[in-house]
Amino acid sequence: MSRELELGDVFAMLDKCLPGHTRRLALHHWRIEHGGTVYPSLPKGAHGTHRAAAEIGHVRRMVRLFGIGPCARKELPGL
Amino acid sequence: MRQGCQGCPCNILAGHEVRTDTRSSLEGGDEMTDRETPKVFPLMFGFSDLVMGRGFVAEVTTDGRATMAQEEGEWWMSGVNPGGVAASGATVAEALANFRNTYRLVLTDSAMLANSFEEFSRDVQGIFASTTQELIEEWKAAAMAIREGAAAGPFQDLQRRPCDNADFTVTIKKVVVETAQPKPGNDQEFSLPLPQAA
Repeated sequence: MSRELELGDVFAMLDKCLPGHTRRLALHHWRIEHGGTVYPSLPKGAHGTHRAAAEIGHVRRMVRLFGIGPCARKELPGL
Repeated sequence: MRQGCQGCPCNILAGHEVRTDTRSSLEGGDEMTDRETPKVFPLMFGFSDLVMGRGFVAEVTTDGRATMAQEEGEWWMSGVNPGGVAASGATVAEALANFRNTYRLVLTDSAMLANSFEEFSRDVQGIFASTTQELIEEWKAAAMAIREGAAAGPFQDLQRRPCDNADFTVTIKKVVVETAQPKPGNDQEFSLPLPQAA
């Protein structure tokens, strides 16, 4: 299992690095959308956990898809 | 919606040969030591799913592209089209299975968020169209390496197909239950580009 990042930190990064994006909680995943681009497979995190987290690999791929690498790495060191 | 693959004999859904002996090299021994083995592998996949939504049943068939690479000790399968679907596993086989399952769950999510077939169809098209030129170029470079004879590593037993571009297709049909007919399942199939003939 790869390292995980708390979703709260991921969302804070998105608020800063991807202004105007929307995030919707679907049945199985979080969906992040911006400008017609969709990342629909961000994990929800374990049920019932106060601090849900996502594998860092998912965050890296989402960041790459939206082209926000420099900003995201600044907000989430170790990304 | 159908895109790409014009002139490219890469529609694996037409033949849907299903291999049953592809796991031997995928289950273990995934560490790569051969210097000629690439770090990024270009994969193609063909899936067919029936998805239930509000007032509709849809059949979604795809001919998609993805890459597979090791990252911090895990295998990560990353979609090119769809660029926002990814999954990991301790082994190649696990990553392939997890990618298939994640893709299916993404379709389910889409159906649950949509209020009509048309909305679902637009959403799935948007998911498939979500990619970047960087992802496409990475797939093309990896495909070129395989075509030019690079080792296939743990993917050596996958079916090979003569497709050298990163185009994709996705077809979304509304199923009319009254006229539906039984047909053989066409579940997951993964393949690798065919090496160029000598």
